Amino acid sequence: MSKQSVEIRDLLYEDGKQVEPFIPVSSYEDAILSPWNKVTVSASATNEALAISDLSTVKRLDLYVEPSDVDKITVKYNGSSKAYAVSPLEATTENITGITASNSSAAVVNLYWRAVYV
Amino acid sequence: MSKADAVTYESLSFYADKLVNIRSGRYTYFSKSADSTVKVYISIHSVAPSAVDEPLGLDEDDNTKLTFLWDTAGTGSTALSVKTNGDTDSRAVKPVRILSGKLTSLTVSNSDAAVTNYLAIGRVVTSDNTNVILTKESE
Repeated sequence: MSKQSVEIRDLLYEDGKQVEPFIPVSSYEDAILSPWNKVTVSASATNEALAISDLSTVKRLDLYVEPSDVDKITVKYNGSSKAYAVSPLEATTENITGITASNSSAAVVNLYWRAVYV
Repeated sequence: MSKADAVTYESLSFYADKLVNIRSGRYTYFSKSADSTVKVYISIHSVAPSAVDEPLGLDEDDNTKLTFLWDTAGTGSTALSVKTNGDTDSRAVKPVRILSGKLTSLTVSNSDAAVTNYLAIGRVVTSDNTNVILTKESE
């Protein structure tokens, strides 16, 4: 897929009215936007590596879970010991070299991701 | 209306002007009781040049569900980073960062030695966990 200009618009509303100041549009020139992908996090997983392709060129990574899976999944980036919740979503713009997930539930959880590659 | 009854977040993705990616759907927090609220608390903070781990005044006694951090300068500025909840790891704000879960403290740093930058914080806060529900609309 050829690179194009990519925009992501994050929209936050309170009682149907967009909150001001508006969240700025994130623009990426010469980028590729992945589709939404699903990975599964094993039941009771601890620091399970996530198969997210081409991490070295990711400029923005969005993660989400279904509402029924809130408060189950945490992720760690780049070997850090710090875990961040995905409850229900997380968007990061770090340079990512690795990502792992842990699952506090005794059932498999679907985790969805989308990346902007440059 | 004296209180918010619903807070909604969605993310839209475009190639040029073509909407291509809305699979994330639309998340909405609803209050389902007259006694509960769900609100967005917005604050904007100036961050002096070369500021390091400057603490920001936040109400620590709340139920923060999501935190949106953005540089009011938008795309192009990469100078701001934050640390949350006493962490040692800092996280960049380039230009938008979204975090889940409780937020008890936040510090901000500005790597630009010459320019004051402005950090906007939008927190989705519920007053009563038992009376707020989260739903999601699919595409």
